[in-house]
Amino acid sequence: MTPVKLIALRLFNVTLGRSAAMNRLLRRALVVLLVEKAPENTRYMASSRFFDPSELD
Amino acid sequence: MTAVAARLLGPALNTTARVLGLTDRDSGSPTFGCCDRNFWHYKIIDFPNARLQEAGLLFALSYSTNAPGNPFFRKARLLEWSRGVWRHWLKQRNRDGSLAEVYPNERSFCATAFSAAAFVESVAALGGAPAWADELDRAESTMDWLAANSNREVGNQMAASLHALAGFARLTGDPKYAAAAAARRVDVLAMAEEDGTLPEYGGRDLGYQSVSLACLARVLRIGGNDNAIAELLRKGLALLEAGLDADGRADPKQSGRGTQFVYPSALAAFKSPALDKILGGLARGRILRPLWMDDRYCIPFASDYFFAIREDGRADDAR
Repeated sequence: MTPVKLIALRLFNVTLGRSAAMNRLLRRALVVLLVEKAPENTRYMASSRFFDPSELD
Repeated sequence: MTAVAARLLGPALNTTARVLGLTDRDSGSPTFGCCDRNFWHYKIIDFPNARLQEAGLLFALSYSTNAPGNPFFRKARLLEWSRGVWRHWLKQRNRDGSLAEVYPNERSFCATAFSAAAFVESVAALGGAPAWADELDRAESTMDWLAANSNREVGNQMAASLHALAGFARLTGDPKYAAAAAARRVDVLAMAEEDGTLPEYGGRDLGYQSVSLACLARVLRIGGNDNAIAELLRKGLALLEAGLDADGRADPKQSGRGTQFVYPSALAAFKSPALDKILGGLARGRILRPLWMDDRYCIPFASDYFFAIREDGRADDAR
């Protein structure tokens, strides 16, 4: 996320994003763009990994 | 293990494990060393908060504190992660060396002062200037910015900037920074009130008073004998001691900023009997500890627990 992208997202949120249908459309587009069509090495995948003591060994 | 270490080490170590989880520890990642998980992992904010980089000091103290039961002691990965944190800190600065906390391009005196102080303490704990020559060289612009800027409304931030400048001068031996530290020392002494209060926005706050005193206790350790700073510490600690209840909580009437925490390291440095109140409050589960705080605040508070353990282990006191 960069400041320009955040501003663009917020502009969408307070204009077209007031509509639930437009929100669903944006969400679907982001999943296609960032997950399904992204190259494997840049694919976004939120995980819940934190710290594992075995990393110290 | 001393009573102080027995009570403070556990909360400090648990915080280290938590904060490691906030940190990008993948050395191949473009955000390696970033400690703001909302930025590098969740990507829900557009810039990282510089204060979270103080985790580099928490890792350095975890690495270098020789205490029974410390699983991080002399673990090479901690050293690697701490350096990664500080390299990210250097990279995320504004062009003029200052740092941002709340919005992009902010020039936050608070974030710059506290993170710079944590940087110099990390370098000192992890091998000193010879092992960190490149990072120290790159950090000069931050110290120049700190020397040229101040926030005389807030005592704890001014004390942190003195801590940073004094530590940098000691590490580099550069007379320019020794002069900057000397000038900031005069500023801090001038803003202190007769009774030892370091004002916070025109009033007293015992929690932030303990932060200021913790910084000044470090300044005393870095710079050696300094009667004026030692005297300010004595007066300031007397105020703090008088304002703590039996559980080590600060009197809310003397906490203009509503602060709940009390940093223990200056009390430990001066072998204050009031430290027992804090240890008792922790034992009885009556006072705030680092893990109960948010991501931003838990980091420096846990680092101060480590400093308190170290001060308690010293044969002399700072007086």
